[in-house]
Amino acid sequence: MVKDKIIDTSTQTKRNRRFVGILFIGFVLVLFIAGVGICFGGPAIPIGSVMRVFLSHAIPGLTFDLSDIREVDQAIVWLIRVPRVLLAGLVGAMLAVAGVQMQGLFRNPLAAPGLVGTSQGASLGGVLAFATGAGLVNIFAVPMFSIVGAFVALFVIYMLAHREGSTSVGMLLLAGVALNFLLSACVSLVISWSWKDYEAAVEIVAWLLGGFDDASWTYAGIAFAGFLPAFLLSTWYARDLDIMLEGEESARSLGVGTERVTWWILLSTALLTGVAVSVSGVISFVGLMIPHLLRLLIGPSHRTLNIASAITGAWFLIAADILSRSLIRPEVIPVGIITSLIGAPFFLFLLVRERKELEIL
Amino acid sequence: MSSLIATNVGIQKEGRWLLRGASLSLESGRVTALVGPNGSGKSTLLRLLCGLWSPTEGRVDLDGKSLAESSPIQIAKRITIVQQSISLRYSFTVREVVEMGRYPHTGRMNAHSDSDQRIVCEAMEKTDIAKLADRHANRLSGGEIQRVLLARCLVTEASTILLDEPTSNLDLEHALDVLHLCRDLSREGKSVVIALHDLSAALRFADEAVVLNEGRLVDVGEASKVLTPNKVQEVFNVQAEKVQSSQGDLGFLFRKQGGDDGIGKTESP
Amino acid sequence: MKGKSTSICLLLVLAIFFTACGKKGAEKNSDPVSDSSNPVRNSELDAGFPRSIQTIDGEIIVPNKPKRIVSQTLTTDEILLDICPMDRLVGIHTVSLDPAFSNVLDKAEPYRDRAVNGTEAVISLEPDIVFIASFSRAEMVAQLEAGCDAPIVRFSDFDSLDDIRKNIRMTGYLIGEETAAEEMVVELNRRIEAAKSRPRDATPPRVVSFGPAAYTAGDGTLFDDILETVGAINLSAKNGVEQFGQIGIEQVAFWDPDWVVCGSDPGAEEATKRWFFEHPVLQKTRAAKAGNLVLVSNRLYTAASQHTASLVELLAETFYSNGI
Repeated sequence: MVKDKIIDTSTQTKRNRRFVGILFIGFVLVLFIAGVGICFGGPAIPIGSVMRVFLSHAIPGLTFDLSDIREVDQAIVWLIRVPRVLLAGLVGAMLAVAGVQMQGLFRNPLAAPGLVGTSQGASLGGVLAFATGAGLVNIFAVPMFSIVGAFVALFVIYMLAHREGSTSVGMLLLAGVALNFLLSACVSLVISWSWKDYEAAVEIVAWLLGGFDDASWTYAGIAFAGFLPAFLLSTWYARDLDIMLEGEESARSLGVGTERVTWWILLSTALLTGVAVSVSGVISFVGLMIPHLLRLLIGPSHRTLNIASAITGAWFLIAADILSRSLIRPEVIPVGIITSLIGAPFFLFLLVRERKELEIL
Repeated sequence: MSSLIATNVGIQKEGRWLLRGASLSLESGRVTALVGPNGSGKSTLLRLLCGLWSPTEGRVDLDGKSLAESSPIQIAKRITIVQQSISLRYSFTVREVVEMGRYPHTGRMNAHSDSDQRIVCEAMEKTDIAKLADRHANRLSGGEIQRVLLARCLVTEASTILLDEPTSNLDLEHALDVLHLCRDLSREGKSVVIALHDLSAALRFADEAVVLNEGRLVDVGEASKVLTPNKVQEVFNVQAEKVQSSQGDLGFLFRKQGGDDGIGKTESP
Repeated sequence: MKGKSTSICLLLVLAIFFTACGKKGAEKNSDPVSDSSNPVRNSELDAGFPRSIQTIDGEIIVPNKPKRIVSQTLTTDEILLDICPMDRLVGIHTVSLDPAFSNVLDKAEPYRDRAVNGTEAVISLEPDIVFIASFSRAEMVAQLEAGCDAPIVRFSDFDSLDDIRKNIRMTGYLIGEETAAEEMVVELNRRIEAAKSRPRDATPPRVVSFGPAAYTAGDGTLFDDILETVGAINLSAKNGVEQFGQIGIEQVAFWDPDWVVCGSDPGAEEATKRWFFEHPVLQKTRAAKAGNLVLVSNRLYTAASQHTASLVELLAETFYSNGI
């Protein structure tokens, strides 16, 4: 009996310890990597200058003599590098949390924004915002269109792949592939229509390529405005989603309003993906890898998974962005390529692991 | 004291009536067995009784209020169900799965209080899964899952407990444990409804029996009166014989209809 | 086992990718003719046909003076429309009639019914020589070779003013109009020399080519050669960008150029200007403060023919007077 009691809490304790560890290390890494990004992520500005510019902007009341620092360097530090790491961190957190939501909702570890067409839906939305000219008039038009696009894509894939409380891997992936093709075709179609206006087309293509090169405080603000409510929403429904993992009907018998939860989670995922795509383009695999690895470490409970994914996604994408800027300086490799180079092999590994389930289909 | 009353309920899915004209009144302190062949509507009736499905016609009332007008949480606090062949696919610990049963009480944000913890521990003791508490739920055997789900339904503290084939995956010892537990629960004042294939168990453990066939309630009443060899023959299409053990327990023995010497034949002692 | 074969496949794909990239560099060294500025040896100037040159596709032999010439690149269209008699030029590319790219809209207009695009159309013209683009795929070359009994000429170098001179001379040589081609080169040289001789500032202007699409022309590009010719410093090349590369706004701001050159289309100038002068960081650069954004129409920006002289003139004029 005494022995039982000791075993009784060990998995839980282990997971809790790991969760705290991941949070702690995550915070340290976010601060450290963000610091590295601000100080060294880009052309060499003396670290002393960077610190002075950063501190005199970040801490009100604190002023340094900045007269020896070029005006462009000041602008680079405060108007590009700082919002850039913030944006990368927020987008990483958004994609990872979106992945958690989708994997939970589909009850399937292979669901992720970039794989099942949600990101493509957001892209199509954004491209339409440009093509109709709305994107040039209002800075919120692109995020709004993207959110709607992500939501529609997500809803369609959910309707296609979700049957009687669960989702088959095969259906999800096949429907995802089809939807991705369809949406990409639509994106190409819209681009070819707008090609008459070369510059608009270039702008669309540049936007689609994504990355954090256009980082600004406005973008960081938009990202935060999208992240906060979606994150709160998903954390609010974390326990419901936990229960729904083990069957929708039994969840309903426990009083979980599964339909309402599903709608809110779909909405929060669309918000996360749509805003992420609108400020940084399609960045694949972050939403697949991070939730999956963390689930192995800290268990499937959504409350802890959400928080841990947010922080891990943040430092991961800040780091990937620094790599994208420093591997072949002064040139830039789009950050999506970095995450895909790491993520695609991981995805193949997952597929091999899930092969048994795939073969049944 | 609570009452769950089904009045003339029926449900139609994809143009077919799964169940029709079922009227039933469940009282606390009683164990009710639902018996009938496969597809006779046992699981359908259970789903209707806990509001998972809304009846196409008729109504189900909990304490005089229609289930259709009650919120899921209100229902979950009063009625709980363990469904058939549920698999647990995620690596929640057994304790976490059982704790999910507290959802109707704690809601989505509140932490589990000491009394919640106590209820969870008690339920796990009762269902003999305390030693599994730390195991990953996706690594359990079918029988273990059945008991974990039973524990989860106990912690809801609902006064009406619906169990769909709770003994189907269990070995003899645990099956008997579960049936005894049902009887204990009914003595604590709960109303327990079990869908059962084992007619002998129904005879021994149930106070009431409901016989279903082809989506109709064939008979409702005291178990010993309803479960007669004739009724069994009529509904299940097998010859049955009621026997009594040396200790006075009643049971059934079956013989293939018409054949005096076929497979499935059981000799009387 | 499966995992292993998967990774081998991945490696193969990568290997092919890098080989392809390497080739691009290798091709540059195979000069069609030994003398880089004058491919036509004097002794051959008046010699008749057959004529031959070495290209990346091997030796090209033109048996007779071509009478049915088809051009499928903008560059050769632009050259041929000036040096080739109309009756011998039986096909040009449709792009020559596209106002977004063509510098020869007026000259191409009479050829409207001969403007074609694609292998089939080319074959149906029964050409006796075909000029195609360097980026044409190998199967297009094979199809053309199979479909028409004519030499297929593929120019691959457009990376310097010398390349342009060479391409003009080679085109003239192959169609037997070497005198006209030589005149064109002389005129090109005259305009470039005139641009070079403009009075310059003491310190050479520091220039970056950059636009909303974030690409810049680095070392080994025609644009780099033009900047060198007019005595300006190409900051991208100086900082190690090879060919065309993607760079960030931050990088451009850090270099703090005196001038930013940006390709643009008619009608899009205002949007590009807004992008540049209203960007919170770019507006802090010397170029933005001095209003030094040079918008070059894309047809001039992407030209690699005698019309490139206009870009040389434009840049020299812009850098060494005040403002745009």
